Amino acid sequence: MAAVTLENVSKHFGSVTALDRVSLEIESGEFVTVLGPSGCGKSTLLRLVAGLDAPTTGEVRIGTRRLETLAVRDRRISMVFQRPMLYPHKTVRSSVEFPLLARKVPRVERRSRAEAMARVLGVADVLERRGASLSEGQCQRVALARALVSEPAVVLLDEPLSAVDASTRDEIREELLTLHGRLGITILYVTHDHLEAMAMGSRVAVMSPGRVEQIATPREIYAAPASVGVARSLGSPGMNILTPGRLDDTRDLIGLRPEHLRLDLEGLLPVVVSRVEYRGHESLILAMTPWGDEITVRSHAGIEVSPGDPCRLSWDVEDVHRFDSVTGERLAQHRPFGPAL
Amino acid sequence: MIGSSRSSAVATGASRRREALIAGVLLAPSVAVLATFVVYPMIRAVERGRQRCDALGQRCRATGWSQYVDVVTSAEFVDAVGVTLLLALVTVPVGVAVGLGLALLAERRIRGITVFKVMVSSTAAMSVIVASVMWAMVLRPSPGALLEVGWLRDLVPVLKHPETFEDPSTALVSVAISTVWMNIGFSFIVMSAALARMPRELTEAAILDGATVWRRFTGVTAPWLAPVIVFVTVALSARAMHAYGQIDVLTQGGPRPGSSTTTVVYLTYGDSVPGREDRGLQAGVAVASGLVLLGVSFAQLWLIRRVRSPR
Repeated sequence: MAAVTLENVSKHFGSVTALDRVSLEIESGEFVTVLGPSGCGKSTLLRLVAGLDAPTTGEVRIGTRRLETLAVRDRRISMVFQRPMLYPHKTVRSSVEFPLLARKVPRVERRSRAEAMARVLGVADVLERRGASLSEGQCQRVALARALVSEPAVVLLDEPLSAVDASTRDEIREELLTLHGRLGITILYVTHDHLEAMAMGSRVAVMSPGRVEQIATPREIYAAPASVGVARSLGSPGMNILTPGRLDDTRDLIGLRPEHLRLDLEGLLPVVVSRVEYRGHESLILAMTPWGDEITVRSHAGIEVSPGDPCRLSWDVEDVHRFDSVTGERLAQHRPFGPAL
Repeated sequence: MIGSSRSSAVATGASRRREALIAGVLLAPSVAVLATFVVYPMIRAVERGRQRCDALGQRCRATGWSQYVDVVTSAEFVDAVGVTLLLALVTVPVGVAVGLGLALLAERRIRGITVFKVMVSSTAAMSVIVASVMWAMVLRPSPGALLEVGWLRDLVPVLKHPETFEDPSTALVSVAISTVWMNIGFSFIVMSAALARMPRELTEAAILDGATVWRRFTGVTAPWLAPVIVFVTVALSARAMHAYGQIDVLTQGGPRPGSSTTTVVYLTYGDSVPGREDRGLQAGVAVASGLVLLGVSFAQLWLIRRVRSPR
């Protein structure tokens, strides 16, 4: 059963369209990440599901019922915000207990549940401290404990780890995944980090401004991006998109991922190296096609080329992506190249 | 690093004297100004408070500290302290509550809210005298427009009595009402600013937790505002303690011969108080009032320290 459904949801702020007819179905117990650049409507989407904002048109359903027909406490939704936000004047304990207090859980049970959840997230030792005295990592752990303590059905996370340092981020990610598996909650996780989106989500929803471009498993979305936008936003660096009409005589945009390109004396495409970026475990070669497209090649670290060197590139035909040059939508694959080259 | 710290640690006597000299020179202007305009007049006031003058107030001589004892134990002074505290007790809580209530209302994003905000804030920009004259017109019997409204008079029976400033039982309340009105702007602006600074996630997290409006207020908004509420309380008490202009315009400390609106400041400075001509007595009252207000200030400081800021 779908835990959260969005049907043709639009949200306008004055004349600005934040979301434009978005439809989305999230199954119960799923971990869905929402990926997109800042300002594309990710947070708006989350706030609509949380019921903090109302959609201009369309409807949001929790289970089978429309969101607005459910009393807030029956929605069983909790949210973790980007800014680690605890009640600064309260102790961590009363912050974590607050959702239970609001649901009129008796005192003894409140205490034990808050303590248990704090232990799980490794913040049991700061329970008596005040929100304002914690580090950002601790804050976000407490915020997670707070969000999970009331055993919600759906947890919404709005870039919860963007203010946390890298090593803590990895730890919290790991714990979140473990908790998700154990508690069977539905998670909607907003991020602008494509690696995080793919690593954590059982499905990834990729957004462009106002729209969900594609929602699919990380594998599907990487192997068969539904649009140029999706292709560019996944992978680091993203997919190379070449000017139409140069590799063949169609009007299609041709996409090639950097790791699918090889430096090859027999290669089809002549390029000139403009820069080499050494990354330890690999090297990125930035090159220029004869007609002026920037193209990035991922290669093993030991490659020895220098700026100015002429090279040739080859690739396998099944690694070619084609997109409509007007709509940006994905086209049927494996079309052989025409005679242009 | 080490070198520099050592050189300052073993500063010679000569260089220390030099530093003291420079410090003295730099401090001299402020010391001179403070001494001339604050310390000296204060000493003179204390000195003058010890002098008793003849009936015409022309010849005065020092008589030790007995005049202070007389002042502090006099019915006039005790009454004035009582009136001052009463005025504060009414205007401070009401001023805080009304300012907070209006600030919470003004948070709503509705059409025309800015007009409302400007209207409410505007009382802060009005001079005490202008506001008092306005309230005199609203509440005085002859042009008292508000007192002509029939249903309002039925609602608040006091208004049927047309002489709110002339009746000892309503005079102080009338002064308090106009004082509260003058304070609303200030109270509202400060509270609104604090509310605007409150991260919206705080309230939103509480909404998602299913907290009721009342619990959100008591559990989130009120604690966030606590330091500001204390600040407004302290500021409004200071204003009540210093209330002068509205009393001078509205009641002159009276209605006479009573003294139902004579506050300590008015007792010190007002035109229609007993002993107006006796400078020695006035100075005595001024110093005694100063001590009372000092006590109140210390109480407030203690209160401010106790309420810790959430940040």
